Amino acid sequence: MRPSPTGRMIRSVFIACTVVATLFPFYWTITLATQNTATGGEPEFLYVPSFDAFAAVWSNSDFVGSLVMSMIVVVLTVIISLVVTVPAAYAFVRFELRPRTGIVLWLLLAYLLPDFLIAIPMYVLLQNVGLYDTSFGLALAYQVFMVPLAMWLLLRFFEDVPAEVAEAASIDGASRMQTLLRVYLPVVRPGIATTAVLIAITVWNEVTIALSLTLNNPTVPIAIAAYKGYASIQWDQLAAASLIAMAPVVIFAIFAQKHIVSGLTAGAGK
Amino acid sequence: MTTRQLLRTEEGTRRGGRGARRGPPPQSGPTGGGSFWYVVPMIVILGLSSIVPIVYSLSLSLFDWDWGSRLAFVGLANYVDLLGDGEFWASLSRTGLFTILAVAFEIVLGMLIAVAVQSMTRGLGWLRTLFILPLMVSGMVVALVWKVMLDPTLGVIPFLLGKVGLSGIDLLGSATTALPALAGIDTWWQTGFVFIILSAGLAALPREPFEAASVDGASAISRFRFLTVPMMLPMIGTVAAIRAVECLKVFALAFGTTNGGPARSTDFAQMLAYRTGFREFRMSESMTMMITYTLLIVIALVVVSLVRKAVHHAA
Repeated sequence: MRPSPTGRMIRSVFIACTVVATLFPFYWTITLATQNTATGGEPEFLYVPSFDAFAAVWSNSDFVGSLVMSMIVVVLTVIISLVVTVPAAYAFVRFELRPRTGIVLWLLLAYLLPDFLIAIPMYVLLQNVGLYDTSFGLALAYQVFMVPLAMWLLLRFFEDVPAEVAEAASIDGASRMQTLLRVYLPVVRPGIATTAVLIAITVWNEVTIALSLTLNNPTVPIAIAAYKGYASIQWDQLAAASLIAMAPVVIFAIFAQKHIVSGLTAGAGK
Repeated sequence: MTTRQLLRTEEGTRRGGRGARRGPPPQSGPTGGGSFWYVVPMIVILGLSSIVPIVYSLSLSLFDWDWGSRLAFVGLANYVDLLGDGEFWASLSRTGLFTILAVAFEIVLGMLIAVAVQSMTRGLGWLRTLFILPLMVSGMVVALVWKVMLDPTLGVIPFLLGKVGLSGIDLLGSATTALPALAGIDTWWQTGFVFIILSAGLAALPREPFEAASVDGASAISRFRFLTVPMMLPMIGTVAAIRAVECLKVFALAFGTTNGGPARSTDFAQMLAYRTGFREFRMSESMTMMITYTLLIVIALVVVSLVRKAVHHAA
């Protein structure tokens, strides 16, 4: 199917437009972060870059604290959800557990829940048990969305393991735990990595639950929102903080594109 | 996560039911029994993070509680009040409008990009990376960056529009344009997801019908209209359902830009719940609101999947 020359030109122009539209906000954030907006002048496209805003953000202990908090929350959330979902996905696939349909429906339902249905009662419950405004409390609350996400992906990746491999292991007298650790895990490792990547990105960027369940120890997106109230002269710092927040995930996306794409497509049931 | 998976699961159950297999499954392993324990930690964690807060919400929604010492049982009074509250229904219709606009923009644009890059031989990997970049950004950052770019006095977009003679445009500051503008921002943010899924779907389509149509002299547009779209329809439906569920939860975009305004034109369901719960500390009311909203979403999805099934049967 060779498109006509006109068709090909329309297509190229269209792709070019979408590329520019996709990249422009990133470009403009870099511009804002490196431009001295304190003068309050018109937007400038040619200027001498300054990195004062990054220095200001970097010396803001609240923002640096939020980076540490976000990292801890990401690590805790990934560990908790993988530790509980990897054995569960293994058992569902390997032993064809009967209540699977019911649990799969529950997972689906949990994923549909609006954030505040969970965040409002969690705000009260975590205060009662002393976990409000802590990384562990937040990581626990995230499980409502991360367990279903991890289960959806892991069930698919475990199903891709040929049953004969596990059969052979059980004939050799391997226990279930040994079969999981020695036979399945090496095969499913890329799938587990993909799952961990998607959970980490989601949690790093999450807004609603982090806003509800933290106060003095906010995560990065909530700390950035603190710049919202300021006047326009703080735009450079807002942009610099945004870039610092984006940087790890965007750099990661460039190198782990295949993992992310395979995770997104697996999640969508393709 | 998706309606399609929901449907597939239901089919699986029916088949399993008819099979009427009794006793332990065949692959119950050498040690026998105990496989239950592999699932227990997952059930406990998901239960703690979903069932416990929901049951807590359900019970408190029957009380009048304002985060203080006032705690009185009121039965279903909160629900009766909520159903008669015009502001609640107004927030639902705004959320619905936002969802329809954002999902429509994203599906159309994502499909067009997927088709446009379909036959590209070089650079597809780079384009894919580029289009997923917005997905990697937090909703809060997306909101703040666009708020700055759209700022009527110093933002770059009104500045550029001014250069071409369209001055004084304040998309987020007007009650008529703020909601469509937020749908547009969501489109910038999430079209990459739609593109990735539909692109994978296009790559999996059989080639023969397209080759036959080409030989018969069908134009590119009619091939798209009569082959690509019908064959992709189930997948488009799945992606639309995923995006719709996410859009119904919209919060960060409005919180970071308009904070519900101007004149409440972007006061979505979750914005209203946030304000009621965390700003006004009317805890029982906010819980009632979210329970009702969840029920409405679930009912809507059940209706949609039933309609899809009926259409599927009719076809």
